[in-house]
Amino acid sequence: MNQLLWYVSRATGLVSLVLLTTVLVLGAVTSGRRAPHGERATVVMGLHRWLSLGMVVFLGVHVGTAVAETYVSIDAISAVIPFTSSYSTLWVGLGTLAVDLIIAVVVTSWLRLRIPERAWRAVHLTSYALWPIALVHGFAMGTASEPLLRAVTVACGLVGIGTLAWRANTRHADAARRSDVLTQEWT
Amino acid sequence: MSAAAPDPRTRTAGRTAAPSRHPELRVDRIACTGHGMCASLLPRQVRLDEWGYPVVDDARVSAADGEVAIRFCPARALYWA
Amino acid sequence: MTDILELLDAAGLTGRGGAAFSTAVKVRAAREEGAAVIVNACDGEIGAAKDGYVVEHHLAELVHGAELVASSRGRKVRYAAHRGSATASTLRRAGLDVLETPARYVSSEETALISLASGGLARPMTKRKPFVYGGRDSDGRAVRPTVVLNAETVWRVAQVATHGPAWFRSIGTREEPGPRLVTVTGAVQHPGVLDTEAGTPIADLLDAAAADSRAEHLVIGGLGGVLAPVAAARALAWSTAELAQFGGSVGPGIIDVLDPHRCPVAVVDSYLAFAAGESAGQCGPCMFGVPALSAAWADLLDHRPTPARVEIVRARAGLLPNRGACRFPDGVARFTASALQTLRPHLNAHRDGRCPSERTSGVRSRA
Repeated sequence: MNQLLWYVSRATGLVSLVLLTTVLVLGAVTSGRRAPHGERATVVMGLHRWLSLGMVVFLGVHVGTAVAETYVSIDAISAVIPFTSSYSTLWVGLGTLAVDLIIAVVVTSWLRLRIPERAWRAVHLTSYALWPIALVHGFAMGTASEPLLRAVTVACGLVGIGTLAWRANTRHADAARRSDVLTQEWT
Repeated sequence: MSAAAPDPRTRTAGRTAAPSRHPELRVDRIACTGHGMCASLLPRQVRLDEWGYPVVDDARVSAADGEVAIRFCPARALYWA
Repeated sequence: MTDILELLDAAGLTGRGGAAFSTAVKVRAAREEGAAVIVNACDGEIGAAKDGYVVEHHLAELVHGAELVASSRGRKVRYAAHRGSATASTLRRAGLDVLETPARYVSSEETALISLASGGLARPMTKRKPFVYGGRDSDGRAVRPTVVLNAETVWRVAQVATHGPAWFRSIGTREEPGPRLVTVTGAVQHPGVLDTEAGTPIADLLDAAAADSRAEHLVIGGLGGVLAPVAAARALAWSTAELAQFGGSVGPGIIDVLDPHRCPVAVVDSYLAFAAGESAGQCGPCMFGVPALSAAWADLLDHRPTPARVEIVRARAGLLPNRGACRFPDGVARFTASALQTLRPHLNAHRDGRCPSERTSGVRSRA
């Protein structure tokens, strides 16, 4: 049973990372204005929202099974508060940190219309930080012995880094014009 | 949700401003950055100009359609008025 | 002493800044909400001078009017004027609280002044509801209740309090009561501000300023107004009811008589080129649409104004109204549409390869 929990934990962890990477790419495509106009723009946005919910489900199983199995000791507290587990404090802690941020992003997005837009934006921007944290957590948490797990993790890393690089370099006309006009005298 | 009870702050000279019969969907033009999601979701009422910004041909959108558009706009630029 | 609100209700004073909103309604709301008051003395429209005129010649009455509007609760009154202007100096020397405004076209717009007064930039804000009730700026920060009234309007408030609504109503027309300032400028011998009223023949205003008899076109209301033929305008009275024929209104009270030696198509080009650089850069349809409209008009001037090119101008102008946070693009669209209408004969001459203005100057004018 314990071994089953351990396998399920690692499997759902991997799936969560793949989903997170996909959600990140879809979000960057929208904000970087690469999303096509027409029907497909809404598909991108819809996938971004629904896959993130699916990811939360897989994450829940990932964290739950990690806590439940007794092979390594990760208690419920350290599933919520980062860097408090006795097993692999740093790497597990990064995972906990990533989950905390994901919860913040998901909750603020769910409540977006009720909170100030600045608050939503600030929390959502942490996605660019939480993804690398999740990636490092996934890479470090015992994928060394499993080439397939490692390969998928590395692939997620490459796709994500490529996306971040592209996003940092895109200039779309709206942002460009706004910042140009802002350099003029307005006070 | 859509405009329900009249806002008491719109009282002037003892009159209460009556709510419009059906709230219209409006674009906050400063917040709008031209994603075009609204035109995809409301093709019969909204189209895009050559720069990707919405042209609202008909602002009378059903509550259900409007709520979806408001939620989906990445820039949170749609609102009921 | 009768309450100022009753006096304003009876007088029917409307805003003299261009929008002509009921001053009684505005002041009542301002008092109910304890709103801060900004007196707009910027003369922001092209050719405007009447706000400065009120400050130079009727400052005591202006201040009295502001006190009446702000009410006994001692709400703050600030006087907005362009940085470096004579108006700003006069206001400062009088010890008044001056809101120094950058000399940008849209900076003297109502919500732009409110934004500036709230510590933000002098750029328009989205108005979900009137800012007399307070609101939020583009970043979501709260803005306290504030009203903006034109300097001439506030001066008239003092006059209504002093002379009474009956006096006010005895001037002007039933629909547009009260005295009104009009700036007459451009190709005139005596440019300046006239204290007149709705119903005055425009011919009288032009003659009082000794307008150039060869002038063929004039701009009423500046960049946000209309371009009209002098001959047709001379037959009308100064009132929104009659100026509606040109798609215009009395607006902020400006008549700019165009120099007959200068090609009016080139004049419109310079107006639109100015407009292209004055977008606040906050709304897509304006920050891309106004420069595009200006480019389309420049095309008309630099190349033959074929029906296709005219149609492009018309289409670009048609995409501006109601698609920005403020009425700047609407004004530019109105001005352009009136220019297309009024200058049709002139554009036809251009298409045939000649400019009617060349006859008078002999010089092909592009500037």
